[in-house]
Amino acid sequence: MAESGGTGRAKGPKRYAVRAVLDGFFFVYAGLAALWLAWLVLTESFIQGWWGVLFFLVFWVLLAYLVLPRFHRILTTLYVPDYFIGRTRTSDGLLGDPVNLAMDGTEAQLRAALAEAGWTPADDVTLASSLRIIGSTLSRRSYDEAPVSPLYLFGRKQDFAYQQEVAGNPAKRHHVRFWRTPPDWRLPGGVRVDWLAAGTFDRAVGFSLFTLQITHKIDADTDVERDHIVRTLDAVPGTTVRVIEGFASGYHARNGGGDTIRTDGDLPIVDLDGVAVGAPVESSAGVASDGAAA
Amino acid sequence: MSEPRKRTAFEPALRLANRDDQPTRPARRPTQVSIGVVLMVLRAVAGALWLWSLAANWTTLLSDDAGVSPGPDLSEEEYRMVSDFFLTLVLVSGGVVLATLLVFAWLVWAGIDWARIFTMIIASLSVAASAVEWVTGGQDITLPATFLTLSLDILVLLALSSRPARAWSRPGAILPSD
Repeated sequence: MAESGGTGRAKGPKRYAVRAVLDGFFFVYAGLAALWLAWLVLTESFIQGWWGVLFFLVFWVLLAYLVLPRFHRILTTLYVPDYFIGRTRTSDGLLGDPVNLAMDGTEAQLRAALAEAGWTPADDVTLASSLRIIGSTLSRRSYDEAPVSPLYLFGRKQDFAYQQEVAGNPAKRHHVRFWRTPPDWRLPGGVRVDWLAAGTFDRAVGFSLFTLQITHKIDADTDVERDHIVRTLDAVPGTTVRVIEGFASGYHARNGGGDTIRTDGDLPIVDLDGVAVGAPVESSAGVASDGAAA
Repeated sequence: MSEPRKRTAFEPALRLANRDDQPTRPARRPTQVSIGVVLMVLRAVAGALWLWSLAANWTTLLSDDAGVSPGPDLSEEEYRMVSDFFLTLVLVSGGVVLATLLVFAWLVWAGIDWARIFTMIIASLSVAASAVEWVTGGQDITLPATFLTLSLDILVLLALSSRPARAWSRPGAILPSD
């Protein structure tokens, strides 16, 4: 405790400690101020007639995208474990999709295998790609490379994500996010893997239970999606699959959007060691429209 | 065999304040910083509009609020001199404040951490002042101008206090205990 005091006159790290405390203070203060602002906007919306509808929309935007994320971030910093528990976290710190896959192999092998198994890399989240996914979801137009929201593992965003659109509708899709594990890092139990992945099936667009934001709702039976991903990868020559049974069970309840999750807790490990890099990229027919639990 | 070192049963509060800082600066300027800077510029524009409306209504304000108008005690010429002097004073000092705000917006854009902290201090004081007046019933927040500046202050505070803005402005902020 004593070494972390911010009272020292020394320059360098200790000065940062003072700023860190100020930052922490402003983080909470800004959250409270935003809550007040949302309240002011809400009371305005009751007295403004038709303009009130607009004010109510502004109130929702403030609440869903500024106030609630800020309070979730403050609270989850306090109570959500910051080490590996087999769950990803959302950008607000809430528990996200379960980690339900692992891979061994290089990034080139992983990407080659995914391409051959009929998966499409997701675009990065940018203003342009965000507008495009909103537009294509509303108009039910296909957007095969639609971006996926960031989820965090080991304190960082996924390295990349792949997906398969179902029936040309961006609201429904298979998708899986990948994280490279830190060097020398081992799964609880001591198994070393190169990649961890979280695969879930987006079944519709709806409101998040925790932040009221508009988001994809996932199918509760995450095992179906996990097995779908493993099946597509297993069909690629050079891959072998082994399974750690009962790796994670018991604590899965809801993901970051409030959707329920059910799983048997098995963790398949796909070994990509035999995958030839630079293999011809062609999607195996029929895989993309498999429609797990659609 | 040495006794194993025990961990503290609770987290030091300082560690909590600091635990999300990243050792390296993100490659791209986060959106939160860009939005914060845009809001600061908008805040300066709002301030300029406020000054402009003040100048436009200056004579009315002087007579109604300050009770100053030409009369038996104050000749027309003296009144003009006093009025012009104070208007210039208000406009110049207001202009200096707004120019400082713009300079700070540029410093925050450039990633200067103390400028970000200082901006947050000023914004939070301004918000606190509005809150006190709101609670004591002295100020009508629903006035469009007040509501606008208050919203901008709060949004600036939110943007600049966000974790990406912090990590980008102060990379490598690791406590000695880490």
